[in-house]
Amino acid sequence: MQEFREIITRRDHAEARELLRAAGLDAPEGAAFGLGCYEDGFLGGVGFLAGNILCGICIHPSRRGAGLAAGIVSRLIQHAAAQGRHKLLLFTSAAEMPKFQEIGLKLVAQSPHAALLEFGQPDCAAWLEDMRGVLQEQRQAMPTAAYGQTGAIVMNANPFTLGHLHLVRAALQRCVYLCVFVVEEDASVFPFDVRLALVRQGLGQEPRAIVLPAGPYMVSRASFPSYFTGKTAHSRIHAELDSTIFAVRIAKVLDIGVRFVGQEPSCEVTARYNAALKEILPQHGVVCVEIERLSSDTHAISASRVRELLAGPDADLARDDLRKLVPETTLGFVQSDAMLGIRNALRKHQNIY
Amino acid sequence: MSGIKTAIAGTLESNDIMITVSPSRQEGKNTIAVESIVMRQFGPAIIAAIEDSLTQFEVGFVHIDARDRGALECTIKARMEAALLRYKELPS
Repeated sequence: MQEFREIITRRDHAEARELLRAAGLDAPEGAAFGLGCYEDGFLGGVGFLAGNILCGICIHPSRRGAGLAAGIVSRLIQHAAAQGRHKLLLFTSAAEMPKFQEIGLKLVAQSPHAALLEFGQPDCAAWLEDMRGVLQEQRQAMPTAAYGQTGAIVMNANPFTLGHLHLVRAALQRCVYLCVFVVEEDASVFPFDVRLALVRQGLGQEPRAIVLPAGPYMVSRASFPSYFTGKTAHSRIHAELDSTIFAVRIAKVLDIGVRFVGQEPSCEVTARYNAALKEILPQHGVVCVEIERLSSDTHAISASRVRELLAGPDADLARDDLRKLVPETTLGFVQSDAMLGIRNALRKHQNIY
Repeated sequence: MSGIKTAIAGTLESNDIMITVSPSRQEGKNTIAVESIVMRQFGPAIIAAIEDSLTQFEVGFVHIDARDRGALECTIKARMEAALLRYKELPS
């Protein structure tokens, strides 16, 4: 008898982990909903749903080709729908991609080693159409009538610093319009809406910079998982996929000719990301320009330095150090009462991202 | 989360079809998108079965996304009925 049921007991989990391990896969991290296909008590296949991401889908070698993956994915889609999630993403290897495509998932893009697929609406094409509409409107509302190259920057801005401002200004010297995409994934200590608002305020004097949410296809948990776990193991593969999605889907529809990145002296994952962008974007006709970081005294200005100061005693907030790192707009926010919760979170987790 | 009113029925398994119902993309008409492994032979028949169900169950104007894996007509109609009734029950 074949039965699909949730992976619940400790024994179920151990069995699922073993199946994944034998296939060279890691068990999904964090709170994920796991589903197993049991055939007379034998675990034939597993799959997981973490938020809106399908992962850890693995079929026992002896049971491949029997349609188990379709059964598991279907039930995970139904489970997600019952929770109100209708848009799902799946990250997989390039070799496994055709199987998922055959089941009915749609390909977003694929790099030599990895692929991103999706199910449901709004899909990548619909999302890009929306973005193009917004961009078009903003461009028309601008004082510059001249048509020219559109550039792009993707930033987490956790929070927005003078370093980010410098990067945007340097980029604006090299293009007519600049899309500033703010990472939408809520995995940082500053929530997305705060990060977005601080970027908008910080760039209030730069009418040619258009601030937009980065959506699910730029530096998201699906397109670039290791950016959020900080693990370097697969970061090269993830970075390649994220770069490819940007080049073949996003840049194409939004007519972006150049992507700017800030030089990265400390974070290894980000440094690898920059390297992947520089290698892959030109292959698809998009220029990648690395801009040198702004330094204050001898230190490079970084958002992590700002977070360190914020985790310290209140007296530090009034010090000149902070003023050298962030613009007035961000300074006003971090000194306000709205920051109490964020500062407590920073103090609790010294290394919080 | 998309926040768009959506209902799903069916699976992506062989001989089945997965139907997703959401509000129509175009005012005043139903929209249908079908993806099928037998599109060339049975595409028109699948669309006809979907349209039949839409006339039978009045739910206002909707968008139907159908991922077909070789379902029989009775299966298509059963999945359509389930999806449309679920859609009807959702708060708008």
